[in-house]
Amino acid sequence: MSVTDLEVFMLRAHIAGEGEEAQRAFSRQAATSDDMSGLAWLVHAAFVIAARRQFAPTWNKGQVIRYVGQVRALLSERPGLLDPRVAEDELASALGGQAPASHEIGAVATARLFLLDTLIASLDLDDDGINALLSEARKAADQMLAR
Amino acid sequence: MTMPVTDEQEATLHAQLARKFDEYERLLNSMDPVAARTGYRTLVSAAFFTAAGERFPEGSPRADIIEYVADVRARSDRTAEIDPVTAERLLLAVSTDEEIDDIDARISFQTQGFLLAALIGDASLDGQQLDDFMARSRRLADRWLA
Repeated sequence: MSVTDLEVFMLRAHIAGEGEEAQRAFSRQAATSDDMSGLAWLVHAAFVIAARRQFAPTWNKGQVIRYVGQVRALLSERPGLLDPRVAEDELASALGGQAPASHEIGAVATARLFLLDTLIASLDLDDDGINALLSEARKAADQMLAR
Repeated sequence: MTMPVTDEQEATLHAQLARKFDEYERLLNSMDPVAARTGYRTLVSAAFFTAAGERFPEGSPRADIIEYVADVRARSDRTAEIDPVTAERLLLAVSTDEEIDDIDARISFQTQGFLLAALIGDASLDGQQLDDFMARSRRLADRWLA
């Protein structure tokens, strides 16, 4: 099993802020398969790559806490949207820190997706940069799915 | 009627906020435990209310509070343990109608203590200003206890 073109299209549409396009692609995917593991691994891989680029060459816990605080401040009208503990654990783990405590899977997926969005904005990636990141993420996700 | 705040309780919090930690520990350990649960906790809450109200007056954006809590938590491993949502809600409750009745009293007290130390540290008060702050906080605590 590997990441599909539709899954890459879906994530790219989401990153581009084309929510309806992403939703339509999601519905097409859901109609053909219940298995969303390709998309989940693609998001995770993209998130890890973006996080490591943003925080290179070094990071510490304080930077992670402040970054998540900045992201949540942007979402301050909907403070419950992003759980800060989950976001901090996921970000620290992506950077090579301790594996996160067990969190609810929906909260984890939300955290990764929100953080990916903001990391791409922080990295100031243009279309070419986003395509390159997604291409790298797809390869990494395919490797995970092949295990 | 509950006892008002005592000089000993005020001196304890004053020592903590003045970063005289040896004196703070000594005073805290000698404090009457029953009085500590009432007068001292009320004094800490009043001081927190006063400091937070001055730092984040009514109308302050929630985003500022979120970033401030993150900044405080980022300062050390100890402060990182503060629950961010609880801390934000306690700060919001000072100037908004945020309901905090569901927060455990012990957690609330501990979180207020951390935030209070940070708020006072950030305010860089001189000796006289800290004395004035303590006096205002004590008056408020005595009103709450009355």
